[in-house]
Amino acid sequence: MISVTNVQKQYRDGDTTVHALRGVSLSIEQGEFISIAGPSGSGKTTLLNLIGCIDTATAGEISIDGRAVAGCGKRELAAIRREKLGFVFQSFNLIPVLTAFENVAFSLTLTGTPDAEARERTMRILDEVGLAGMEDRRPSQLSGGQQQRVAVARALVKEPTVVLADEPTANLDSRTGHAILELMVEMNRRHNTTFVFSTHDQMVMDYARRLTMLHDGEIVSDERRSA
Amino acid sequence: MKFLVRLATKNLWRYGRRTLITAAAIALGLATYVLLDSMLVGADEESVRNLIWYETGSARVMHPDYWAERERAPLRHVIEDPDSVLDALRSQDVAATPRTTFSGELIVWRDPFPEDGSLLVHVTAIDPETDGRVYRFDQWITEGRPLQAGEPGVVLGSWLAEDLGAEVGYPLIISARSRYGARVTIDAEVVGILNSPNPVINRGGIFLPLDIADLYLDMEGAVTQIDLRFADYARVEGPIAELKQLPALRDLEIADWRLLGADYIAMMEADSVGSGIILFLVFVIAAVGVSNTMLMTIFERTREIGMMRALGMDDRAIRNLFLIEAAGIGLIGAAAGILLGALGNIPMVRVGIDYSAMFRTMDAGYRSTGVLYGAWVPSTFVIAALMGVALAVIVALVPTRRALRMDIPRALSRQ
Amino acid sequence: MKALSIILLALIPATTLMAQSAEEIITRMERNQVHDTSRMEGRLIINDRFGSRTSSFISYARGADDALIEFTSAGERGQKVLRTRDEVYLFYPDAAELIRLQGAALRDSMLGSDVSYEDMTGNRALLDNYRVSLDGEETINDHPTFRVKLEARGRNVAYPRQTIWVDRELFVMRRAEQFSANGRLLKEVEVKETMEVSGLTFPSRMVIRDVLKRNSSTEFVIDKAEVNISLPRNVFSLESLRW
Ligand SMILES: Nc1ncnc2c1ncn2[C@@H]1O[C@H](COP(=O)(O)OP(=O)(O)OP(=O)(O)O)[C@@H](O)[C@H]1O
Ligand SMILES: [Mg+2]
Repeated sequence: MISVTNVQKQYRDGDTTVHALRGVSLSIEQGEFISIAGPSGSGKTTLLNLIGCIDTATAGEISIDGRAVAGCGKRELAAIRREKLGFVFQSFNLIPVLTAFENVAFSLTLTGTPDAEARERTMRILDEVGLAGMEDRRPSQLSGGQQQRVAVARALVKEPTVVLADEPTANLDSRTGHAILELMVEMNRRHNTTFVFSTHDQMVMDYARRLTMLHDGEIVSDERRSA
Repeated sequence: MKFLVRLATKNLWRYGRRTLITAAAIALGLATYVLLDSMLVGADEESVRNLIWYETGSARVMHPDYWAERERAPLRHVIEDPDSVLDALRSQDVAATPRTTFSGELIVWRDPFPEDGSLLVHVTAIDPETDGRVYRFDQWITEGRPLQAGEPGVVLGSWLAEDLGAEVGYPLIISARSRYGARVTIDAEVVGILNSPNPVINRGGIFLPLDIADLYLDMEGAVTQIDLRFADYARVEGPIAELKQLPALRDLEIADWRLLGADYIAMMEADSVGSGIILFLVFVIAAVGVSNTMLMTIFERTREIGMMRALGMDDRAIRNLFLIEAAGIGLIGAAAGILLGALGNIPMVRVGIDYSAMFRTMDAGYRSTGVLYGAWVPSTFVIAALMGVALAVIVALVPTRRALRMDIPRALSRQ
Repeated sequence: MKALSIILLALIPATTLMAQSAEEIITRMERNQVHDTSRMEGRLIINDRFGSRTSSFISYARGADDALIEFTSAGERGQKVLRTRDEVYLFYPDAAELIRLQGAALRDSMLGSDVSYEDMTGNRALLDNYRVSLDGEETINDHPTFRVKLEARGRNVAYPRQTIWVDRELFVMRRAEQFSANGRLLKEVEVKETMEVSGLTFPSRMVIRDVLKRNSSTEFVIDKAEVNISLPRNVFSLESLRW
């Protein structure tokens, strides 16, 4: 469903070339709940960005739902992100002027979903992430955990192929982090949505049903565990 | 699009202070422009009025060959029978007055004048009875009295009088040539001093009764010109076309004030180039003032832009969002600028600005001596409004495009 | 005209004390003063409120119509004024520029003097332009003179009225006054010295005053004169201005 084949990513940093990914291959199936782990600088973010189509690989191939990403133009990539991918960012990244409801509905506005349907889906997902009654609050009126719930709702509302979350709990205290992870596990179970998240936190890794370890731009282990 | 507008409005509201500061800079620029333009247009309108009321009339009837030689004010090319022309004009209800302009030398002698002197001048001989139908001097005679037919009196422009040291009652001599070339001298007395709103008249005006000029210059009833004033004084094309049909005017030429005041018109045109430059400068200054805050506004939201792109929003839509926001700022600025300009313009139009000291020493070409009044120019307000919006949008374009060129991960990692 | 005066002169000896008509007086004066041809060297001394300055010149004349004046003093060296029957031209060597004077420009003062180009080079055939009458006799600077009144025949004469005092013995002008149409004195000419060359007596030093200007006078001095000589053929042509 998502296949990453021998992907390399190099950054030029002045005179030196940084090999962020040195030939990574990975295949992710529908409904997986996978954690990309590894020390700082190991290439987690880079890999997520490549899968998320917001960056392009130096070499190798990535395909999403059988569609190769490499040859796509800017607008096609935007369309893929819009329709197939959901993002949860470390620092929530909600639109500050919009309410919780509007932030979630924003995803659907971009896909051109009719208003009535968008409204209904948004209300339902907000309910599911436990924000019923807070839909009219703006990000500044929500706690960090609540904001991240909105972000999860925003990612899920369009029913994407995969939700990509780069260290989704790094900005949260551990209790709230647990709650968000619980939420993601729950959503994965309920909607069979694929989740790929990165972390270097052991507590977070424990939630994963598949743990892929990166080191220095290479996969050093990739193990599946039963819940 | 509706969504973008809503989002843009919300953003403007959220960044209220920045919006206001930016809009205020635009407003200030536009108000400056509106007021400057009001003053320039006001000066032009006033100048045209003063040109026509004191210097050229709406139009002038003259001998067809006169115009080419007007600098020397020759008495060779004259209207031989002004009465028939005047009768014809009267039948058309056109205000008209005969005049003779001639060149000569003004000679003043020490005691009562402060020193001996002579000055090459153009003297205008006017018909005291009818001149007021076309020109408006009498109310501006600040000392002495208007001319009277049959007496060798002279009315002098106030600045000329001041330069000569002339006062009412002083004798002077005008040395000139008769129509046929014989030397003539006219011994005259200063009867009045004229301080009109037209600086050209104040600087060089010398007026004499027409019958005196006729006698001394051997004119035998001929005059160099018949000056006209139309009901709508600056509108000349229609009336002139009609007058050209009159048999009495068939062999004569009619020149309108634009031609007669060509020096002024040329200046006015140069001026409109000047005000174009001023407009441009105001635009540039406002743009510089606004571009900084606009740049900050957009750069501060780089991460937001990255996020929206990551969520799959089209670059074009994002750019439109920011341009709509900028246009909104421009609109607020334009509204405020127009309001400010309009409020500022009220005293400019009612009270005016006193430039008399400046006009006295400097020959700016304006036919105005002192207080200049602003004018209401609707088109300026429209232009100002469009300019405000255009300015904001143009200034927002560059940083928006730059933010969109940045790759998404980098934009997202911005703090 | 000239023939007539020659006949008259033949009939009447120059020294006659007989009463003479005004025309005769003027004619004899002009015979003295207007030469068939002449070459003169002289100076123009201009006194005004800026002080006194002198310009020297060489002039050539033929009859009453043609004259060429060339200035030789430092300030205006090479400037020339050419008068032909109908026209006056100025030549400025610095600009190598030839200017035809017309209309009012003829009335401009020459080098800022009390003499206009028109005066300097003007048509001097007085009887063509004026009706003359004898107005009496008077002694001017110890010289007995006839006082002759001149009144313009046409309306196009620059000085509509003049009075000229002509020496009773030498028939040379001793003094002149020029008036505007309405009788105001405009110019005074006072002859201080005369000169005799080839039997012709003419003013060699005169003071001209523009009465309207006050405080200014122009002295016109002839230092050297030759009359009735042969002049180069084309002195009075435009080409000669560009020597
Ligand atoms: N834009 C960039 N330019 C140059 N080097 C980069 C860039 N982005 C990442 N790198 C380098 O690539 C390597 C991988 O970085 P990446 O951000 O993927 O690591 P990470 O595993 O996400 O680390 P962290 O846990 O600190 O987030 C690092 O050495 C990093 O310095
Ligand atoms: Mg990272």
